[in-house]
Amino acid sequence: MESNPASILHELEDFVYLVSHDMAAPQRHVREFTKLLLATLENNLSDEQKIYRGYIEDGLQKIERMQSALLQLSRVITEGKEFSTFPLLDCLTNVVQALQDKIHAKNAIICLPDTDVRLTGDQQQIETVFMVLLDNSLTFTREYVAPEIKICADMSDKEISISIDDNGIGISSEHADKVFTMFRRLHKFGEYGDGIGAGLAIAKKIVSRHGGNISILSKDKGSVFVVRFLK
Amino acid sequence: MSKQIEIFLVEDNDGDVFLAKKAFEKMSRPYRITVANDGETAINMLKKEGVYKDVPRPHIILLDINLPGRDGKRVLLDVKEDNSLRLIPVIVFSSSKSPDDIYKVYSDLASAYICKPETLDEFRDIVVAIENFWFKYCRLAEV
Repeated sequence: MESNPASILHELEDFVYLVSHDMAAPQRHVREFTKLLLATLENNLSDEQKIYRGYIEDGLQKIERMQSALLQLSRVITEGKEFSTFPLLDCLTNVVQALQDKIHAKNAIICLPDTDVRLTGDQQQIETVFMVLLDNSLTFTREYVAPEIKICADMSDKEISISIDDNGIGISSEHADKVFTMFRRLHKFGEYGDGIGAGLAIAKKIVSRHGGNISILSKDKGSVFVVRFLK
Repeated sequence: MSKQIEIFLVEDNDGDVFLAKKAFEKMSRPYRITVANDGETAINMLKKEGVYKDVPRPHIILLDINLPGRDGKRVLLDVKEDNSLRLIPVIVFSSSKSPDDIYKVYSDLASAYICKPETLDEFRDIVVAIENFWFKYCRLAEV
């Protein structure tokens, strides 16, 4: 089996085409013909039929979100930008800015590091990583406890490590690895937000494109995600 | 224009043909849609070859670019290489948003490039826009 970077890229491009194009027509037909079918029945649906309709609509919406997440995952490689060097703090500030509404709604306190560390990579992608992690910390929160999220940066000779430490519900160590698997959720859909379980898988893919790694540490209350980039 | 508008649709997917016909019900002028399910048939019909001698000459061609066999790009070239057919505006429908694909289609003299609508409602909007632009404001070449 070929596994050189060019052939992997080629396979991914084929995959994107398959997901975005070949699946689009059947998906469109299920959606549009369901609408047409329902339009002919609209006022005569029994309560049970309304439940069926609800499942069809939810299912379709979920398929569309999963499809777009799969595309996003593959585009980490196929549409990655060239690397540049930028201050970590700029990147974190942009992310906090983008999440302002949610931070406000949750009464969260975010503590950014006082650091002049610079990262080298695809800034947009790295912002996505911190966006996913911060959003995660803002989503999996304890009831009646205002989220406190502390971001720290450490630099050694070889690597830069950035930790995101929250006081949320945490993740038991037996499940720790599963959270990075695409579409793997540890909670019932809708229990903590309506995410489809794609964010951390995408974040992991981005970090690995940068030659780094991402891990999760369990602690008493909350979780700590650590992102390491090679220097 | 009071006479019947002749629309020629080249589309291989039955579901999409059905949705297109449904969307065209939005037309306020009288119209007729003739459908070709593949590129080969499309060209034979447009050139009125053999059994297709009574196929009406269309005022406008709607062309799906992804077709089995002779694909839509080839059909576009064939239409634009024919002295008579080349006068008919060809509106290309494609699921691709790739700048290269768009560039190629305009280079080959398509009149418009439209990303395939995701929903029937969107398709209906497009039909209204096509009718207004091509049949209310534009004057088409007569043969």
